Amino acid sequence: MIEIKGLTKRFDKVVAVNSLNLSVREGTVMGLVGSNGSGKSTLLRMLAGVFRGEEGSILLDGRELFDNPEAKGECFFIPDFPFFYNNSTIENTATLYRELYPHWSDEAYMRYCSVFPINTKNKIINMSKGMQRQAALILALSTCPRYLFLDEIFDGLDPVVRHLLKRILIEHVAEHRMTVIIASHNLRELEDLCDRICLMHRGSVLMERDIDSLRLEFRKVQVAFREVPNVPNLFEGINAISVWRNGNVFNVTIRGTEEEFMPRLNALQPAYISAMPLTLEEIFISEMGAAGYDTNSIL
Amino acid sequence: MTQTVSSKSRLRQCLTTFKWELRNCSGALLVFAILAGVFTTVIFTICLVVGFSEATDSWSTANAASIDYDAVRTAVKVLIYSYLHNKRKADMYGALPISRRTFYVAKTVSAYIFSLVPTMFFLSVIALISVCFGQPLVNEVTSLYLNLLLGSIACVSFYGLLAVCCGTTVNSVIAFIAINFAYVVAAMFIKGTVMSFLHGMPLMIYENSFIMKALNPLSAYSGGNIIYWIIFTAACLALGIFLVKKRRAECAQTSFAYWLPAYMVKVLVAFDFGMFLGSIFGALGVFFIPLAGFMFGFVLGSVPAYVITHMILYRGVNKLIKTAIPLGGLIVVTVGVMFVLNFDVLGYNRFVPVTENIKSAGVIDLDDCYFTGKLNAVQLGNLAADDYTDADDIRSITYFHHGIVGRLDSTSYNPYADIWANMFLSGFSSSLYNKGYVVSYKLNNGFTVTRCYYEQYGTFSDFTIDETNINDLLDDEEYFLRYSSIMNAKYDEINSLSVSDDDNDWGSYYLYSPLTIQEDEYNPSAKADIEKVMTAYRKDFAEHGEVEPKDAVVCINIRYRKNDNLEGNSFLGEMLSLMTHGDSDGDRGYVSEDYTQTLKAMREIGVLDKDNKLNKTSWYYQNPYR
Repeated sequence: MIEIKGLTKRFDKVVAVNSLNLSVREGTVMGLVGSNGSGKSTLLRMLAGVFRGEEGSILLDGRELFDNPEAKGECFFIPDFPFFYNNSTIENTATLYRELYPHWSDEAYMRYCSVFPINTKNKIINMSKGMQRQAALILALSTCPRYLFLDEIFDGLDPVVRHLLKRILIEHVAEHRMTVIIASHNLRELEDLCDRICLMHRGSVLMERDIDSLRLEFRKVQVAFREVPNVPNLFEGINAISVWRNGNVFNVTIRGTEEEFMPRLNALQPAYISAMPLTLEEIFISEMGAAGYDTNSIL
Repeated sequence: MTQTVSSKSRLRQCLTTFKWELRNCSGALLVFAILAGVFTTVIFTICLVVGFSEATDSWSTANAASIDYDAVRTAVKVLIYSYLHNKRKADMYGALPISRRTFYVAKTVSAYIFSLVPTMFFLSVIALISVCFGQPLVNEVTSLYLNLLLGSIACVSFYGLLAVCCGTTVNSVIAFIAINFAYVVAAMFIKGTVMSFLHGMPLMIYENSFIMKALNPLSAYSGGNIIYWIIFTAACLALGIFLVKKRRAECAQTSFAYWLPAYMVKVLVAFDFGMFLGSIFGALGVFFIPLAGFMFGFVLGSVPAYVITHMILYRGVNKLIKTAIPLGGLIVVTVGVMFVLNFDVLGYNRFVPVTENIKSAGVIDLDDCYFTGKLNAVQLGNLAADDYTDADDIRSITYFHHGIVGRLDSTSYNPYADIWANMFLSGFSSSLYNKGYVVSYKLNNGFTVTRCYYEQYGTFSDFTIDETNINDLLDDEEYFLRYSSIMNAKYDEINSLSVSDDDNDWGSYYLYSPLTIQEDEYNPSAKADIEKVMTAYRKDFAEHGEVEPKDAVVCINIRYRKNDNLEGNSFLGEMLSLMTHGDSDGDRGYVSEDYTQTLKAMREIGVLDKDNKLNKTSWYYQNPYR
């Protein structure tokens, strides 16, 4: 289990992570989403032991993580731009990880080398971006980590490999109770893979929820009126996150279930009403809009 | 919970890191190995050309050449420590399950080994080949091993510390080069200034001391100061290990993780440029007052140098004002010290002990002393301080000393003009062109006071020392016994012994002698012959005392080369020694008929006939090597 308490990280005057609290249970696949500069990558780097927070703590099964080789031996971090030397191949890099990671498995290594369509003897630096990520994944999964931290891992992967990766991760989580935290802007992929989602903005957690309940919690409602009722606040009493009007038609994003808001909407006697669940991307946009990160006001 | 990593596990991690580095530095190491191979061939060729027995003389050259490819060693260091400066590498290495300190130590040990192994391998080849040729260079190679070992560990540790402190590789390299050279220049400026203002201070004790090289680990390759370099290495390593855990990984690609090297570079460079302009303006007497000229020049040189260095290191003027306090401190301290020196506030230049306070005293003519160059001025002072306890002798020495102080006090000169000359005066080499004296006193309170004066000295070209008061002491038999080369030179230092009889003119400075005992391939016993004659001469001297030229029947003249000359420890010192001394020094002694043992020894080896005349049939007669 990962426990983050009051974690703060500053870069000079910029507060990248601000008093962040978060708990991630074992066997969870958590998607870390947020605006650019919200602190996702910084949080992952702190989780991997690269950075150290100025305040707060990160505990991995009750152990302090920073500069603790024992705890770090159970983690693997693939950054957004993984580093490889000019002469690095998967094979020779494996010799380093084999010695350093206590749970390295040659069996897993052989298996993933055969699963991913990649030559282990070629220089990684000469490979495409997607293949470099596959190389990093082979090495990462071969260390049999209990905690896997992935930054923009889907970037550059083709749809087949993305699908393969998701399948492998799900298998691994199911078999080994691995905990995965993935920072990504690719919400569609996260939606397929994650069971929890953490939305970050300006270094803080805006919300952290189970992805299924999150989907059920938000509704995109279209309400059309023959004549818009002349009331000061049309959607008063409804937890409307955003309202967009086009003539007599209103598109409203509502937090809550149909049972909660339908009676109130029906009372307005609309000509037409329909409610649909939100995609993760729509939830992201609406939540970020509510947090003041709304491009509609700019454009 | 505290981390629990066993020593065995740490060792395994270090070994893994070493193997990983070996793989990643293989290119640079290959270049290094090729250069080491070329270097070996160069040395071996020199050995073949000049002969193995003479190769030792060429060794200094070879030693200096080995430093030339320290640039390649630096490339290896840069590669190894670049994990601290590259953000992507920091991501990779920061996430590895190995503690930062263990990793840093493993990296440092790798750098030590990579810096040493290629050169040591090829040097071993040289040693092996030389043994096969029957002229082993094992001792020389071993000494070079030690120098390389010291130089490598000192340089690697220092660069490692700078790499931890700096945010970028460029800053680390700039800091390494700048500190190495700026420190030496700063030390030379300080030495030059003190020598110019504090007359008689025996500063040459610092010539080969760590003080002149403290932050110049490149000089560790030249050997010497072994204890200091070991302490230096340990201190750099310990500080690096201490700081590396606290170092923030996000400092990669920022200017500095710690400001230590930035301050060092900026202050040293500002001081150098300040002294450069200050000494020139002081010498020119800008504003009609040398001190005012110096102050103006120092500020004019140091401030822009500080600003420009800051802009190079910080890529702009960011934090310039915040970090300018040391510059202010530097200017205040330097000007303050120069004020004290300029007006001799401490009275150093005028100080001559009162006779009543002196327990014993001594004086040495540096031109006529075997130990000149073997001992520094303070050691010579300590050696001579007990020589004379008689009140008249002590008074003669203090009169002599007062004479020098008085002349210096009345001489109108600008000491700022001497700073540059004094910077480059090395040890006693200055005394070879200029007459010099060491005066020392042992005071009743137990302190020893030593002063060292030279007759001609930069702008003191018209300054002469009147030795009338000490002539009797210097001409005394006791002085000859204690300090002459002919009485003190070691037998293995004497290269040749020339003999002339009273048919030859020995009144002039240059002695003509047709007979020289000198070792060569036809005279393998020459060394033993020289030793035999010298032993007999010294015995005769002890029994019969000094012989005046007019009473002599034979004159002997030795040529010798001091084995452990202070200036011969480094390549520069060796070159300086060769330029100033010629190949060796000489000394002369006279043999009267009372010196029966000497005459007998010379007859026995066949250089004199039964009438104590040169034996023209001797193998040594008209020796072309004389």
